[in-house]
Formats: sequence, C-alpha cells, structure tokens
Amino acid sequence: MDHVWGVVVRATVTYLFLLVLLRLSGKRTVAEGTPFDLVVAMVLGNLAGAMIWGEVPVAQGLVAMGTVMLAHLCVVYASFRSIRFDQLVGSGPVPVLRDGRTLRDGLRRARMNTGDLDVQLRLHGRENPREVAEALLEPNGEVSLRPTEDARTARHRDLDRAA
Amino acid sequence: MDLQELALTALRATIIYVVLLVVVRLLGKRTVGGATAFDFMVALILSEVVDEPIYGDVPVVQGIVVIAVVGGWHFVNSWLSYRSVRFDRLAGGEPTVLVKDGRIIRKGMRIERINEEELWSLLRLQGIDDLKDVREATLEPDGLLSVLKTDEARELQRRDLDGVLRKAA
Repeated sequence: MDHVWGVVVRATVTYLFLLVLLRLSGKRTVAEGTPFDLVVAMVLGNLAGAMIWGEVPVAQGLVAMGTVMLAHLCVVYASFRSIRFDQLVGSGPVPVLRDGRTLRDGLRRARMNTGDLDVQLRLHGRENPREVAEALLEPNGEVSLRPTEDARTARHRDLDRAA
Repeated sequence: MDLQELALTALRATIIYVVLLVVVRLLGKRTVGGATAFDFMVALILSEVVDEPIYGDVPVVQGIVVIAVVGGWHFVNSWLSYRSVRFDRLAGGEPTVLVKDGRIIRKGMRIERINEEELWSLLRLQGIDDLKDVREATLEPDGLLSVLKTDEARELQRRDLDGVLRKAA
C-alpha cells in the first residue's frame, strides 16, 4: 500500500510541477509552436514518467525537468530578442513558390520535392501554381499560401469598389 | 541524493537539450513532428531516449550517439525522399484519391481503410455537405484530406467578380 501512496504523491507533485512549468513557458510550447517545441514537451513528459514510477528521486526529477524548461526558455527568449539567433536555431520562413514559379533553392532548403509542393497546394484547395503569388514554408512546418490578386477570395470591399 | 548529483543532472539535461536542439535544427522544420506520421514517430523516439542519459542511467556520450544515429538516418531518409520520387513513394506514402468528380473511389477507400462515415466526417470538417461539390478529395501523405471543389462550388474569387461586374456595366 505504501508503494501506491508513493505513486499517488509523486504523480500529483509531477502534475502540479509540469502545470506550473508550462504556464510559465506560455502557450507556444505545445500548440502552434515549432517541431522543436513539441520535442521539448515530449522530453518533459518522458522525464516525468520516470519520476512518477520512482525510478529516480523526486528532487532529481524536478531538477531535470526544471533545467530542460529553463534552457528552453533561454532559447525562446534569445530568439525573441535577436532575429539572427532565431534564424540560427529556428530559421525563418522559406519561400518555395513565387509568382506561380517554384523556387528550386527554397525547395532544396525545405527538402520538399514538387510532389510535396502539390500536396501543400491541394491542402489549400488549389491545384494551379499560377494562382499563387507566394508560398512560404513557415517555422512551424506548415506551408502558408498567398494567392494572386485575381485568384484570391472575393471580399466585400471588392463589391464596394466596383459600385 | 546529494547536491553534486543534482548539479550533474542539471548539467546532463543542458547538454542533452543542446544536442536535441542542434539535431532537430539540422533535420529541418518539416522533418520532425509535422510532415508525416513517421516524422512524428522520430520526434517521439528522440524524446523517448533522453531520460536515461539525463538521469545518469547511461553515459551522456551514449545518449548523444543514439540521438545522432536516429537523427542521421532520418536525415538520409528525408534527403533520399527529396531526391527520388520513387523512394519518396516507398518511404513516405503517396496521396490516395478518395473522391473524384463527386463519386467515391472505392479502391482508394479500401487502400486507406476509411469507411464512408469517416470520409463524411472529414468532408464536413471542410464545410462540404454534398459530394457533387467535390472535384477531387485526396488523403495526403501527412494524413490530412485535401479537397478541390468544382468550379460552381468553389469560393468566389476576385476575377469572377470582375467578369460579373463587366457584364453588368
């Protein structure tokens, strides 16, 4: 029974500690972050698991999780303050298509082939690259797409202008 | 648990963090976590192997080697997928068409083991309630459904408006 209570206490401590850590780090660690934010979140979960099962002392678990989060907060803060550092660790958006033409250099840097690009266009409901003014591979791994003026969705003010 | 061991834990955690940061950065944004189910697996593996070296159950060097090996193979994989379309199809999977010109493609549904109910769920999430509006719906390698609508059903574009207004004028 002692063993059970140990697990309950450690699980509770871990839960509260992680709650505080994630709260301190802001929303970006889990949602809408970069792939690396996701890796950090999973590392924290993994460190927590070993601690809950009592494989390591609680103090060591807290130090390990705290250190990883602290290191991550330093990197996040540094990339917030310095664009150069941000490009070093996260790299900015990579243009892969402009004015309907694929950009070989961008595709190579993004390691996307033309098939991958077609997939991304279809996910935006488009098939024809000529309808695209610019497509960027964003730091979170998704492709954003800006259609040409002609092919963009009509807006209310287009009607106003015509009237 | 003395203070020295705690300090060592913090040091090991910092080293492993930096190694992970470098590896994920070198792999590129699409390759870890996002693009395909397997990319997500790699992110899981990378984060799964790090607790032992951080807690000191295995030497830090060993942890670094494992991260580098898994990251290295994934780099080779993503590079080959980029270079060769055949390898990409083999390793990354290919897009499967599920709906074509308003009709469900049974073969595609069978290949992806998706039933009609699941397909409708995916279509509803894209705001589709009539198959007639779909020119082509494709299950993409990253697990998302892309929908190309027919010309009648697609969103109004600015150029459509120009035509209408010119006619009116």
